[in-house]
Amino acid sequence: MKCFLPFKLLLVLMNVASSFTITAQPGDLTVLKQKLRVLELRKDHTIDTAYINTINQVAFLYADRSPDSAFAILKDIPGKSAAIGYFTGETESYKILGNALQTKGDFDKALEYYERAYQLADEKKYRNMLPALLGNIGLIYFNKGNYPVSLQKLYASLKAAEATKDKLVIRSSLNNIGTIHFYQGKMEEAELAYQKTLDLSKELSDTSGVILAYNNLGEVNLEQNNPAKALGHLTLAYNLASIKNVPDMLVAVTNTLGDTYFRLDSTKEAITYFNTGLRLSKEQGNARATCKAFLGLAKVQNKQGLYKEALVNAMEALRKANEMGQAQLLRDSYEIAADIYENMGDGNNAIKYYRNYNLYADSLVSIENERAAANYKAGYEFSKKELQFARKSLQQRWLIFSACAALISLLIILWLVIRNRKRLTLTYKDLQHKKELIEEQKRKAEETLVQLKATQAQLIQSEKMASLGELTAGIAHEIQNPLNFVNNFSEVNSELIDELVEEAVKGNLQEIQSIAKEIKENEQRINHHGKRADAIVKGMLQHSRKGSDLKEATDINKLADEYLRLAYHGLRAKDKSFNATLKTDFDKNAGNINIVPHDIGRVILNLITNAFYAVGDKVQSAGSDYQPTVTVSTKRTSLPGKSHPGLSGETGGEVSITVTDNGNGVPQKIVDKIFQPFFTTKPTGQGTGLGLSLSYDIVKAHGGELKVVTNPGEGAGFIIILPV
Amino acid sequence: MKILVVDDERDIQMLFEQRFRKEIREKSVEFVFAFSGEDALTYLNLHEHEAVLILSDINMPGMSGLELLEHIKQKYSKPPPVVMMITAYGDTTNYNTAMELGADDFLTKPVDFKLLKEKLKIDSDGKNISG
Repeated sequence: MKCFLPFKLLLVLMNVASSFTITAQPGDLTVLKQKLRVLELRKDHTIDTAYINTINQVAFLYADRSPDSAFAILKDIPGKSAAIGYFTGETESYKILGNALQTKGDFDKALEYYERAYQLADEKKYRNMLPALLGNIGLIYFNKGNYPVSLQKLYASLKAAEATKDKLVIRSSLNNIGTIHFYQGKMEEAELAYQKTLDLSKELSDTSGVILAYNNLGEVNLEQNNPAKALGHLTLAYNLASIKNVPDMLVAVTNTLGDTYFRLDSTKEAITYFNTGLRLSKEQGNARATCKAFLGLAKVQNKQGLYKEALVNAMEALRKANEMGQAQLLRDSYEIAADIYENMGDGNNAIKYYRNYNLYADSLVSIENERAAANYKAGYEFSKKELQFARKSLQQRWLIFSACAALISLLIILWLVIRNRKRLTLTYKDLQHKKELIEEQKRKAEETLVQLKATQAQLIQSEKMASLGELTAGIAHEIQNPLNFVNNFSEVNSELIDELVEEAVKGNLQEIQSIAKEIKENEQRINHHGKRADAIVKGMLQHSRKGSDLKEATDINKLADEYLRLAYHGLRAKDKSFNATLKTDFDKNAGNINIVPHDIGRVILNLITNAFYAVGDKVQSAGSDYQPTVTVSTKRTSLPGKSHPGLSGETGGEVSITVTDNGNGVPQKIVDKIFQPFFTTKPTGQGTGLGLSLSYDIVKAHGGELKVVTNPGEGAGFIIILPV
Repeated sequence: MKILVVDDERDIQMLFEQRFRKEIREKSVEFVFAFSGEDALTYLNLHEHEAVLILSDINMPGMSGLELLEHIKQKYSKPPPVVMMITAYGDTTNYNTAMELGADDFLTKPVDFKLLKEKLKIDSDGKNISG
């Protein structure tokens, strides 16, 4: 993770161990290069040990900052050293090459060089070189994720360094052991180791070591969830690295600061530091720092929700880590990548990357005692993740299933809607068609109604004319009487005038006056009977007239009598053999009532005509004892509470006109039908069936009632009840 | 000769009086009028045997001429007055009924006064003959 720098320090220490002064600072590179140029002026300088030492010193400095340059410089050195038997130089060259490779992240090749150096040093008994080489080998194993072997090598290095009192190596090994503790999560032990490293570095006046120690302590503080304290340590480290111009330390601290600000949720600052770290590390060709910066950026962007950008950086980090084969960085890269994929909702990739993460995490946490627990923990974490993803996957499957189900439902609904719409359209068309039919039928019905109304009007008129026909004979008779008088008196007057002339000749004035008086009286009678005939004709015309007339106060007794006569004479005119006893029983108090005279007259006429018909019918079957009788009576009744004392007969109450016959009566089964239109008992052609129906309507229109009282075999009575 | 005329038309009185004004003036005939069957019977009860001839309309409200005829022929049998029925309807049923009831003659409206006068003369003569 963040602590690859301690091993860089270890490399530094190893250089120191190779008898160079600890004060080798970047500024010294110039001095060394000058020295190198001077040495190159010598003849056969390539086989000069001083030259080789100086080359090694320069390469050592390049190994950290420009490993390729170091490689180029050292290209022929091991061979040349071996050729002149300068094995210290050869060993040193191998080690520096290992350092350069380690900086590049090529751990396997670096290990090869280190082991070659170690074998050579061991063979040649260079005791002082062994501790640093052991430390560097431990560093390789650490980078490869093999903590047990790494720890073993580091402790061997520590032991050897203590034996040779090599404080630089002691400090480096302590630092690296602390780093392993850090990775194992043993923060207290890590902190203790880093504190010792810090003290030793200060004792050695090693700025890089001090910076590194502060950096590492800051990282521990971060892990201990104490970012404030971490920031304190890291600020110290950053300032020192800046002031003392230690670029490799600066880039390390920069990245760690990025982490710190990330932990503090100060994403802006974190991004700034990681970008700076990225720039610096690229300048220095520091793969680990580059990878770390990429990781940092990925983490921050992941947190910011910029998954796309985060993923690009995570992939960059992963590529770098893969190039190096650096286990911690691989693990971290996989972890962040998985996290990003998870956030992006890509469960499959997330699982894939978590599996890789788990693989590296598993291989890293492999120190004997920790192994089981760590494995368990990792397994737990993994199964937790897996469960989480399984759940997510299940959720996704459910989601997909739900979506499919929803889609199918939607399609079904859509289909139903379409079908219903089709049906609706059909139904609508059907309804439209039916509507048209109904409208057509309605139109026809209305036409029929209009025709029926016209027919009814015609029928009513027919009925009027029919009753008029019945009346005609009666009217003729009624006219006959006044006409007779007119004729008779006219004739008499003619005779009287003759007499008058005779008397005038005689000169009998008295007689003349008497005759003249009679002539005048007769003349008045002629006039009277002429008017009488005129009134009858007018009534007849009125009867046949269409439309409704205004109501007028009418003497009900007179009206009843008039129409009784008309009816009787009418019937007698048609059937001379007919005879019946007519009886009248008029209530003198019947008085005037407000009616349409000819309408009520028609009702009376109709009832009397029916009565005559009824008695005439019975005459045919009854014996000679039978005396056909028709009675017309009127009666005025005062309604209780409506009559006014002293004003009797003027207002309130009702008048009834009853027409009774002693015919056969109305059979009970047709009583309910007799007022229905077109119902008739008369032979076809003789009755319209509208008489009683119209009578009923007329009486109703007057606010009255038309009732029938019948006693089959003994006669019937029709009662017109009219309100006064 | 006293003649009772029964008719519901009141102007019949004036008509008869004018038509027979010569005979009335000569007092060869005397008229009495009744305007319904009931009135006629009342008069006959009060003036028994005065009227020798009764001229009656048939169609009258209340008591009809035929009813009156029946009464007269039943009640005043000795000597029964001559009863002549006058009707607007010259139908056989009325004629036969009137004859069955003992009517002496049957006239139809409008009354032919010439014919009536002749009949009265014959009647008068006949009575005179018989008397």
